[in-house]
Order: sequence, then structure tokens, then C-alpha cells
Amino acid sequence: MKKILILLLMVFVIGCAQKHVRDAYYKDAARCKADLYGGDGTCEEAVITVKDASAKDKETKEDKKGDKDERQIIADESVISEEGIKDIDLTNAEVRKEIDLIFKDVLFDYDKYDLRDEARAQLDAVAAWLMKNRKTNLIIEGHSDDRGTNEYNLALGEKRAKAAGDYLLLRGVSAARMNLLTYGEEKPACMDQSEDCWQRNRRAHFVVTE
Amino acid sequence: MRNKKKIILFAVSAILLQLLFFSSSEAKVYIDITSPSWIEIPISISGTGNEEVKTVEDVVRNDLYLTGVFADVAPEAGGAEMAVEISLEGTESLKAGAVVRDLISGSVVMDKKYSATKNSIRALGHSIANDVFKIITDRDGCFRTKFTYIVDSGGEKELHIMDWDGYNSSIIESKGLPLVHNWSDDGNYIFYSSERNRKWRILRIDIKGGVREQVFTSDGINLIGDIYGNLVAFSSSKEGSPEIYTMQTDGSGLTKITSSAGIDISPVFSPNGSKIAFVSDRSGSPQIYTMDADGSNIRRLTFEGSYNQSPAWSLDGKWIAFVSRIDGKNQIVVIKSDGTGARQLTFEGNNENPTFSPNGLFIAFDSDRGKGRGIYVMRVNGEGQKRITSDKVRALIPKWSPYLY
Repeated sequence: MKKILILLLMVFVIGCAQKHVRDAYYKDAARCKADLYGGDGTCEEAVITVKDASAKDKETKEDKKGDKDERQIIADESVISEEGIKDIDLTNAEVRKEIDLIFKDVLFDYDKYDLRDEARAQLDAVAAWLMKNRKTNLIIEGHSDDRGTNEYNLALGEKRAKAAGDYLLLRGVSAARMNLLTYGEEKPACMDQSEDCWQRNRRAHFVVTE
Repeated sequence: MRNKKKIILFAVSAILLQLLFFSSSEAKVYIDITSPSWIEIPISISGTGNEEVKTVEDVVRNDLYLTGVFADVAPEAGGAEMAVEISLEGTESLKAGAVVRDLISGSVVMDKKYSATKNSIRALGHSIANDVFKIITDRDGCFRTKFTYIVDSGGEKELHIMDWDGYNSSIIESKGLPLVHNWSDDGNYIFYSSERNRKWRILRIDIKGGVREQVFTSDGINLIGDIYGNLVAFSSSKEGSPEIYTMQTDGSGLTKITSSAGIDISPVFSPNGSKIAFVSDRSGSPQIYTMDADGSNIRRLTFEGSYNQSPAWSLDGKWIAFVSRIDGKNQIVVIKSDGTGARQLTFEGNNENPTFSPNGLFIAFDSDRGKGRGIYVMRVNGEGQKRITSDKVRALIPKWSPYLY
């Protein structure tokens, strides 16, 4: 009986997490209810559920009850971590090497913020790593090349960071572990006026933190 | 019959009287700068008194010639129709005078006295230029106005303020990553958006007292657009996607006024506050739109090109300047607010962030033509483009102040 209840809750949470990906970042159920999704009560409750789980996850990582919801999402994505939560030393050279290999910049087309196919594959690996290393958090920076205006490029960068974040959310990474930030064209990876450099700058960049 | 003659006589004399009346009252306006073309007035500017008078002379000369209304004539060369004679006395506390002569009629059309301190000598020059400009064109000069702008020193950004001619620059904000900014209508506050501690915030600074306060923040971007009276228009992605919002200058009364899945940013009020122009990519590429200030009656304004951004509304409400990507470069274009009559004003390098002078005569913008990005001023017809910031500084995003008194 209890198992069925958990299963039901699990389906419910997954459904809502996918449906309400946008709102999960912003952790304000009332807002979600108000306009974006037509004001059904489910939305509000679901977002609160996700929020509670994530908040507890962050506060007391040993608290097994608090972790339950997120694990169930992982179960659905078939990336179960048998080891559970383990400590990770981000200063360790081996770890850094692994991070550099997996957390490569996700690149975007000119004036676009939808994910390319190769970006999805990249983000699958990022999600899998984050699921294995649950004591880490992620900053996703959105960047652009310098061809638009400074202001529009901030919006483009925001959209790019969010596209990457939304995908990771669907892959089960808790919103509480992710922080989105746009820099637009203000922090370029390179400064040349060439197609190659513009492409390098149109990116979602990852910073793994504790 | 006699009566009829009398009536005709009366009518003719009335017309004559009227002509006389008009020509005498209009005599002061030497040049109508609202007409589509005018002939420059040859003017000579000279100074007498102590050495500092050279500075005042230079300020006046630069201000007046940038308007395109005047042609520079050396006093000794002859041919000038107007003469400006500046006198200056004193070392610390300065006494100045400015006389404007109409050399055709021989009459003195202006004779004013000024007092200033050594530190405000450039401001003194700007005041004289304002008065000369007013007497000759019957329009207000913008020579006492200022710019806020961003200085980019290798990734670090600073918000600065300077005189309209590029002098007297000083820093107002260096913390965080200040970027977009704008003036309150009364010129007392600068609103700006800055990334600090991983959040984009809208702050305002009281430029006389220097007090900063945060007006709004949330997750995502929060970018100041424009201020009309007590109403602030800005873009925020607090709900996930950048939308246009309005709020009061103290941060209260938040109202969402656009709703689209894409990007809605860069709101600017029309001069009477009834409309907002903004940028949206709802059609698939960034374009300029207008709407009523409550978000109704959305109308697409630009159809040429696939990359139109950064709208600015002219003082008379008739024109919107914006940035359009043309042949791979960003250019300043003006279009009538009904969407017709588009006209390209810049042709060299990338040109962005247009902003109108409060008297509607000039547009300032930033450009990367020549050496590095800097701030330029031009007349609204695109003539007289001049860099006002140093080649040594990477300067961008000028915002023209309202009149400052």
C-alpha cells in the first residue's frame, strides 16, 4: 500500500516537474498558478513538492526523507546512483580533469537559444555526472557573441542558460542545485571578429561548485 | 462705392500692419532649424580679458559648431553675419560677459553678464553657448546637459557621468557589472542595472547625494528601460522569460505588461508617456514594436532586416531611432513612429545605443569605427558625426540627460 502511494507520488512529481520546468527555478508556486499555466491547483502543489524536496536536500543532505523525491525522478531517468551521496574534492586534479571533460561549453546558433542535438548528448553526460556527485552545485552562465546590442545579448544569454538548465531539470537535476546567470557579450571567451570566435562565445558555460 | 473703397483700404492696411507686426516679432529668430534645410550663419567668436577666456571661447565655439547651424569665421577674416564677444575677468571668482552683435544691422541682440568659479569655467562656456543659441534660433540649447555611459576596462565595467562634449567625466558606480542605465525625468536619479553577487539588480543613485538603493531584483535578468514621471518600464525574466514590466520609482506597483515565449526587452516611453516602444523576437528575430503603456495595441514597427534593436523615441514623438544590422554591421536608423520613412544615419563600423538630446537636435550613440568603441554625437539628420570620448577609453551605451539646472 505504501509502495503504491510512493509510486503514485513519484509519477505525480515527475509529471509536474516536466510540465512546470520553468517555474521550478523560480520557486514561487503562486506565480505559476497565476498566469503561466492557467491556474490549476496541481501546479501549485507540485511546485511546492519539488521546492520542499530541493530545499531539504540543500539544508540537510543526510536527511533521507528529504532526498526521496529527487531520487524517484532519477529512477525514472535510469541513472540510479548506488553509492548515494558522497563527498567530492573539487580541487583534486583527477576530479578537475573529469569535470573539464564533461562540462564543456554548450554552443548555440547565431541569435538562437534552442539546443542543438549534440548539446543534448553533452547535457545527458552533465546530468549523469551531477546525479553521481550529489554534493555539487552548478552555475550555468549564458553568453553571446558581440554582434547584437549589449542589452539584447543579455536576454539571449539568459535564454541560453535557461535552455541548458531546463534540459538538466528534465534529466532530474534539482533546480535547487542550479543557478542561472547571463553575462551576454560582457565576458567573451575570445575577442576576434571571426565566425570561429563568435561561435565559441555563443555558449552556455558551466561552473561546478560545492 | 466709397464704402467699398474704404473697406479695401482698411483690409490692405490691416495686411500691411500684420506683415509689419510679424516681421518685427520674428526678427529675433535668425534661423529656423525646424525647416528641412537651412543655410549656416557665418559667425565669429572672440574673447578678451585674462588667459582663461580661451577655454570659454573654445567651449562656446565647439558647442555652437556642433549644431551645424553656424559656420566658423575668424573675426579678422570678415564675412561674419553675427559676432559673439566674450569677456572674462578674475582668477578664482570669475566675472564674464557675452555680447552678440548682428553685423548686418549693427544692432546688439544680446548683452549678458555671468559669474562663475575657476572650477566651473566650462559650465560658464556652456551657459553662454545656450544663451547665444537661444537668441539666434529661439530654441533651447542642450549644452548644459550630461551623459551617463559605461566605461569598459578589460571586462570590468564602470558607470560614468560626463558633460555633453565629453569633458568632466567622473565615476558613479564601479561595483558589480553596471550596464544598462537611464535618467529620471527630473535629472536627479540614475537608474541602472548591475550584476552583483550573481543577481541582476535594478538600483538607483541620487546623483547629488550619491545614495544608492536597490529598487528591484529577482532571479534572471532585470534591465532598466525608461522612466516617465514616477513610472519605470523595465524587462525582467523573473517568471522565466524576459517580459516588459512597469513599476513605481520606489519599486512598488509591479505590473506585467507583455507575455510572449520569446524575448521582450528595451522598453522606452513615448514623450507623452502614452506608448512604449520595445524589442521582441516574437516573430523569430528581434524587431521594434510599439504598444500602449498598459500593454495593449501591440504593433510591429520594423519589417526590414532581421536584427532591429535598441529603440529611442525623439522628443516630438515623431521618430524612433534604433539599431539595425545592415550588411553585417550595426547601424543607427530612424523611422517615423507610424513605421514609414526609414532612414539610415550611420555607415561606418558598428553603431549602437542611440539616445536623443532633450532638445531633439542630436543623437548620441556608440561606435567601434576607427579606434575602439567610443561615444559619438551627430545631428538628427546624420550630419556632423563627432567622437566625444578619448581614444584611450572604451566607452559605450550613452544616455542623454534631461535638461539640468
